[in-house]
Amino acid sequence: MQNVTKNSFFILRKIKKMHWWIYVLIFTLSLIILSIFANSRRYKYLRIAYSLYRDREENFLDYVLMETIDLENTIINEVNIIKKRETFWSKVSLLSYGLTTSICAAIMILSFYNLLGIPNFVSFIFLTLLICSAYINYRSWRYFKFSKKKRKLRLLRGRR
Amino acid sequence: MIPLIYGLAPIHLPSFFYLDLIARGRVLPKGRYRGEPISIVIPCYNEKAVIGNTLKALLKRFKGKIKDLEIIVVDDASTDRTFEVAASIKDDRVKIKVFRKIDGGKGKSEAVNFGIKNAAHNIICVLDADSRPYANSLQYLAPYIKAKHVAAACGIIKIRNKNFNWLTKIVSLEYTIANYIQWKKSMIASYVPWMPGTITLIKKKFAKFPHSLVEDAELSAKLVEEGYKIIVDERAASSEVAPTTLKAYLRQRIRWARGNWSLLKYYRNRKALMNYLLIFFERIQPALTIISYSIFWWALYFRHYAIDFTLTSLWIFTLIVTFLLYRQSAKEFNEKHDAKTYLIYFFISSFLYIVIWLRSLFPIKGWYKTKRLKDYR
Repeated sequence: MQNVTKNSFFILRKIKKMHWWIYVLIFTLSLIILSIFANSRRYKYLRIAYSLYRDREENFLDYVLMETIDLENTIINEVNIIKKRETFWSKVSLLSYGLTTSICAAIMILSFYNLLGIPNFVSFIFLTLLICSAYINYRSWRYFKFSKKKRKLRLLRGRR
Repeated sequence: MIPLIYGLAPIHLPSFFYLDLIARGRVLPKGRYRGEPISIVIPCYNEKAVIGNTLKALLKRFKGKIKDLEIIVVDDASTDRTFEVAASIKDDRVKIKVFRKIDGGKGKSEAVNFGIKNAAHNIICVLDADSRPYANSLQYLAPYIKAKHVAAACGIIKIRNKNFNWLTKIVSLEYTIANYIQWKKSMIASYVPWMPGTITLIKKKFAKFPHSLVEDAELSAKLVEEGYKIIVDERAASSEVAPTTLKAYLRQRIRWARGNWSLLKYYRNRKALMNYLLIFFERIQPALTIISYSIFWWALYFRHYAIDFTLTSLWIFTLIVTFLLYRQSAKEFNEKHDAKTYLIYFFISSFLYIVIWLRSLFPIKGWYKTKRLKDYR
């Protein structure tokens, strides 16, 4: 028991010495995970919407291109809820992706001017993270496929 | 020397935008063609060499497949036999109307507007005289036009005489990259695409091309400013003839670059201005990169400067993203270019474009219309 406490204390002491950029690295990593989660939620609601529009496929493009002003005018309750949730998750995904990109870009460019006082290899780590985050986003939209599954509509039943 | 090297760092910034273009996107549903009637408008000026083959190709590909197809050819006071060649082609199922403008020669926009005025249908397809749309291209684009937010839907342009010489190979790669960027822009809400002057389907009520050197880009900017969307579908394609001589290529590009200055008046909003800068940097970034690194290695050689690892990471990033953009665009449109073409494009085209942009600062005489003496298959 004593050993465990000693060890954990030792780890804590080590953490105290951690550089600020490690916290930024952890934050960026968590943002990438959030972006993956948000993307999957966004496409889930898009799939639900597609199943709603399965009889009038030609109106689905209008749904996809719908903006906030049109959303307020929409009378159909289901469409309203789904679009709002999809917009929310797409905003979260965009924000997390945007933040990841800007953090990585800022660190790469500021370290170029030697303003941060961080080791040389750090900019390479952030470069790798930037490319990984871009690839994850690319995969999430490029390999999306529509499927007309009815069962997903059950998710909305509680709100009616 | 050191301030110069550090001062050139912002040239890497556009790479972040390219990466964003490659990474992000939106899923756009693809509708089904349900027999919407389409009017095709083809403006011509001295197109004797190509117009006959174009009309034959259109009849072969769309006759019986598009309901109530109508083809309108507007001869903009040509001095050759364009009118006679176009009028000689007749069909019993497709209406082909050939008009001759006596007071022509005032630019493409006047001829297109004249054709649109005489069109019977509400969906207009604007084509160049040398454009040959691929099979089903119009059927792919027509469903988008039904959406109330969409003003126009366009396809992508491929080069027919790609293997003619080194210049046409480079132009083909250039079109591939430009098409890819346009296609991705139409999928991301924060960028705005421009419709090309060919293989474009547009609603008749919006089809009023302004009098300009780049009437298609100007109309796109206008429509986007009014809040309408332009969709690009990569399945719809049309083949075109690229200029085969450097002089013809430069003349065409100078006309476009000169016209692009007039677009600045639409760029009051931030989003559109970013769009403009992105296009500018897309063309000249490789040249800036090469110049900056020549200075860097020169400074290193003469011991004015010590090697910097962070600079290397930015350089690697720029190179990765630039070549990723090239490769991805070729991959998406199933095109094959050899390594030599990529390298020539990287090393030459951007320097060429700096010359074009500098020349475009000075006025040009006439329309700089590309002469087509021969057709290619």
